[in-house]
Amino acid sequence: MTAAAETAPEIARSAAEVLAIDHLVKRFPGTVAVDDVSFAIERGAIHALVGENGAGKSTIIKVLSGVYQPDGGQVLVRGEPKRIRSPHHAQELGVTTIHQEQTLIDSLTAIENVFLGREHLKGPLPRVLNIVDTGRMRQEVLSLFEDFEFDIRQLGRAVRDLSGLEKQIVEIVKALAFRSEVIIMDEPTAGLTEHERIALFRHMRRLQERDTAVLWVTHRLEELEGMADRVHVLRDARLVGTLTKEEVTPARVVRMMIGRDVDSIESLVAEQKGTAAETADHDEVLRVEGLSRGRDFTDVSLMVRRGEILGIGGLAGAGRTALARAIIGADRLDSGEIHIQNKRVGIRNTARALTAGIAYVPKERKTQGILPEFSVTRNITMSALERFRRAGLLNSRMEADEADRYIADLQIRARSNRQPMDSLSGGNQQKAIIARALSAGPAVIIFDEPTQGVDIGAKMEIFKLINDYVAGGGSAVIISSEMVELLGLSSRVLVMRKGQIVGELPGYQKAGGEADVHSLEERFMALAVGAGTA
Amino acid sequence: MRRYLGQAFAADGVAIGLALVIAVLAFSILEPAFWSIDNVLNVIVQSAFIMLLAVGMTFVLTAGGIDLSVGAVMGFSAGVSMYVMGEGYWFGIAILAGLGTGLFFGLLNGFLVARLGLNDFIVTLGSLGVAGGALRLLDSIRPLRLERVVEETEAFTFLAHGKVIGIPVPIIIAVGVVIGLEILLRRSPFGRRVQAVGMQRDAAELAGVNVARIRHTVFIMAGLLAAVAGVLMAARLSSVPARLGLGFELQAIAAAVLGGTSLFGGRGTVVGTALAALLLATLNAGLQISGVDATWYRVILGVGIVAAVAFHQWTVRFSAAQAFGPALARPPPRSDRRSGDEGQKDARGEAGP
Repeated sequence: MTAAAETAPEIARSAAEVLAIDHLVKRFPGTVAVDDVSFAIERGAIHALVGENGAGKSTIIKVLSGVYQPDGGQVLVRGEPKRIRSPHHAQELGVTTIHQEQTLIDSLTAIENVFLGREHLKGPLPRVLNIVDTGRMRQEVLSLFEDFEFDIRQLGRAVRDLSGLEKQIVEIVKALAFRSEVIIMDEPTAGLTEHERIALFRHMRRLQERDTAVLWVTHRLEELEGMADRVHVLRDARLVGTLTKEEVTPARVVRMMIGRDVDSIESLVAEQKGTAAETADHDEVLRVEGLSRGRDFTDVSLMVRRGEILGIGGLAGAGRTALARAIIGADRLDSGEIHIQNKRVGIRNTARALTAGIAYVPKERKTQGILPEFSVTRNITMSALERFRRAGLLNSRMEADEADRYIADLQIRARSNRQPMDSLSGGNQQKAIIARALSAGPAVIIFDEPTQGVDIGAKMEIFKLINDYVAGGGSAVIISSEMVELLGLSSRVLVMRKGQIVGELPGYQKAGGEADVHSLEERFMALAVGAGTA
Repeated sequence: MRRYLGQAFAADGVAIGLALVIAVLAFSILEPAFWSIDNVLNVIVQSAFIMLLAVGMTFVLTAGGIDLSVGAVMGFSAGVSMYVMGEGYWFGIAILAGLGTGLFFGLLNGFLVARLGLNDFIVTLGSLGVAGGALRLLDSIRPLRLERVVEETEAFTFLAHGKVIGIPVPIIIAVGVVIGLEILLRRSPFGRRVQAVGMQRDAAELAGVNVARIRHTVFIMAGLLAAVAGVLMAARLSSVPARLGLGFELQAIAAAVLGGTSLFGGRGTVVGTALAALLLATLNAGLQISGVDATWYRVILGVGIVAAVAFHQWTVRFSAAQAFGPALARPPPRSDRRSGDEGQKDARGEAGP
């Protein structure tokens, strides 16, 4: 496929262009991160930037936000070549970046965050000694907050108490208060629930109406359709094409991103339809009864059979991760029983859980999954160290053999099994962490957001891994905020709301046709937000 | 070329071994008397005390903690065993009493830090005060020294002054401890877990590591090793000054960090620590023999710690950038390490209220 075939006709440079990059090049020792990339963003347009991990998206964002300086080409702001010296300079030029990691100060309120470093002051004293004029600051942004459907009663609360969506709104208002003309959003929907996502899209449209341009980085390609005016697709540091609104379909974007045809989520769903393996007579592997823990969750019971994938859905804060952490002994339970293969087990810590046969694939990969400076091998063998002993000491040959087996089986792309974990891409890190869980030989694995922040290619491979694992006699519990993934993989889905299980649904596998799928999704949403019962 | 140099220096113990050779050569040239057998053995024996403390510190640091009490615990253990000797008990009882003292402080520190989740800096600072004060109390009851030389006391002082096949006993003990614990850190499941806990505590826990037990254990090790150093010290000095151990924690931290152990956890080397302890003892003895004011040793210690940290960040950054591209070309983000206890709650994500 040539780049030209997919490239939209060059848009004439015009006054409408608020931000553009022109033949941008950025090199790092031993690698070119961005190779001759050009595109332009017009006022009031939503442009998406997509590509697999390592394709160059974040480097482009860092150049546009003044973190990196380009090695070639230039950045044009309102048609004029500019050297963006720092993130602060970028904001002065009207370009604000909302990073994936929240940059808000947790302990301050929404308003304090918006005006951080630019507070309005009152009183006669010199600047540093003065009192902050909260009233005036509030007045100035009140209407902005209202425009974005922000509950203004929340304005006085610390940001840490706000939801993911509310935090995004604070960032947006902050950008607008800076009079930004371009807002760069890096994975804004990561960690948001289904209905928060929809609300965020509404807000992005609102930005558009205000003539503010949005450069939007996302991994979730199904979001693009109908939202993005232009989609710029990167592959291996180069721009492989730009699609117009009419041309965008997830399948087409995926094809451009990875340069080959793969199953999309849709085809996964299609494949799963009517394929439910009969597991009703299989042995129980994990059964929990009456689990409660503080305000996190109350009286939760569930059961998983051999060869089964049980999904747990719900909004963020519904208590899903808290439940998983308590089952594996990372947090203490107030009450309840856990049975593995019909035997009651006491699980006081994660080591016990592992011995009992429960492994966990955590959701925050960077802080809770990887051991960054350890090699791939050491990351994989971490949960089963006792098996690699000879005369009491760890045998590196045995460890390496185990790692090589998983590197081959799970197609973990690493230069060698000695490569440090933090130099792998997100998807490959995730596969190594799944390998760690598999290597422990558990009866059941709890996957918490197993595909969060991994690219589409790795995502499909992870789906296949999970399916292979249960087909081989394992059992899985999957916690996911992506409804399609959840319903597509699971044979049954439990929906949690406010710490309780509020219903059980079948997965797509049991669904007959399109209508069935649709009604299933509606029932799921209704349960999750509390508008109905199963 | 620069790349290989960077990687070679990053390897455990290479840089510190080089520094040791240079120091020894320099002092030998300045003062030929430095190179006499007696003096060399003396320097090594001197280093054995710091070495034992620093090896314990190495495990605590590698697990992402810190133990400020090791010097004071060493002093108090020395005092206790000396006190028991003075009461006329069998020397074995005195040794056990000293070791028991260290074990007690290790258990207590570990319990408060690992099981109750208190901040290690504060807890061990408290233990430092308690152990230091306890030694003075003991000293005020009765002078802590061996008064009569009888068979019993000779057996006790043999620990420090005796030789087995020509090698002083403290050297044999220190070498044994260093070799044993280097193997433990590098080749045992326990050592691997210690590193994992120091590197990313939450990830280690979710991978099935009993984090509380690992953290508890390293504090016990530090306390016990401090006690071993204390008992040897008592045997060597034949009298325990009321301020024994003061400032030794700084030397222990310096030796560990100079040797290549990370102050932020996740990376540690027992052999590197041992070489650095040897270097510190060499510097101390060399400066004394050259007639330099002893205060300069403390200055060198302070500068050495900072220089070692700077040097390690440079080699880590340099070799990583060469081998694996830009992702690693920065010091690893470690902001959460010291405040790990508070961080844990946030890391639970949606589990919060």
